[in-house]
Amino acid sequence: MSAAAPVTKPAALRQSTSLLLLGAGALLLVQVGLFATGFLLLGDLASAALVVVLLTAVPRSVSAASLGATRALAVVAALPVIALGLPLRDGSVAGGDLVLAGLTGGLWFAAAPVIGLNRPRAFSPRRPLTQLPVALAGVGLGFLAYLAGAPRGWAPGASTLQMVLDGAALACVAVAEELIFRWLLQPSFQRVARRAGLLATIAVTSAVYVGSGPPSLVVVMAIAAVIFGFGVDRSGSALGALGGRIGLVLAAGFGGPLLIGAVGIVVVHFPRWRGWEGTVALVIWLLLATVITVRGAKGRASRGGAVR
Amino acid sequence: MSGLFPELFQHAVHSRSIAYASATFGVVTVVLCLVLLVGIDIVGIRGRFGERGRMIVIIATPLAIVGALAIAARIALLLQ
Repeated sequence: MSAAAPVTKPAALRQSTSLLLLGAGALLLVQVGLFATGFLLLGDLASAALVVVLLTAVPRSVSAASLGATRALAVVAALPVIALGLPLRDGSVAGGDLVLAGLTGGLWFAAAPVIGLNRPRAFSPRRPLTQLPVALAGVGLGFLAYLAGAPRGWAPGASTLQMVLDGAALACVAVAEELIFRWLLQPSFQRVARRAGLLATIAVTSAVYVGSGPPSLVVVMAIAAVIFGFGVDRSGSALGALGGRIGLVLAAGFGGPLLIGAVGIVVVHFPRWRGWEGTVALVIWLLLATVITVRGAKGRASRGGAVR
Repeated sequence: MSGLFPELFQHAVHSRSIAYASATFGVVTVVLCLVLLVGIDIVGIRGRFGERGRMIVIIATPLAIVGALAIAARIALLLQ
């Protein structure tokens, strides 16, 4: 058998972006097609299979950036398996949230350097004029999320101390989630394909909420993903997105019910987003990602650009 | 409101018994952990542990913790 031909830069670029599109598309299919439609066990199995494929079946010949992106995708695919496997039924919600935040945070802490990401830079206060509006937008979006049907952050009949503990646990989960999406998935995707990578991260982040709330809430979370994604892209740090995310969950779960709810504004509850709407959203994303990626690849190939 | 443990998952976990959850989701977690452990072994035998091996260890660790908790919950259920 003859030796494999050397992979040219445009060919490597096409290979990398195809891998990214395939991996992200498979993950979206699991999230939107299985979890959101209520096939949780099937979704759990598909996620587990995706983890194995992403970790073992990607050839070593692809670029280091593509390997990093597929490994980051494997981490995201493993999250539902971890969350669903935890025996949380009889424990407290805050306790379960803290265990999950600890496991996810540990996963990010260990995986980030292997994927080639600088951990301290995630918390760098660089470009405060970019990061501060992102954090403030998170708080505003939190109140919008409350109006869009986000659930309350505390259990009925909870004491003040219990409410504080629930809020702290929610904030910890928000930080862990944002670190995984903004400082593991997004940078590794953007190394492969800058614009399509950002779009893919936004799509995956938003897809997590499909099926868990009304369409209006999914739209608010998608807007948050866009703002946080661009904030991280522009500032080169995840601090603003982390602040924004904490602000979002606390404003949606506590600020909204305590401030807006006390005034008596009626919250409109839309029907849950299930079935064909998710599939349409997935198809639109795949088309958009393909167009953007192919155009970007053609542009870079014509300029003779290197693979990032 | 969390993407790591969304309302959909919370409803699924809280509406079913521990026995059901450990026999379904728990088993998936344990099997995935075992598959990854076999993967670590294969990578080690080939002598190319490298970043791929490290990444498998990193993902297998929380799965092992969750699997151990699911098994512990199952044993506690049997002892009751």
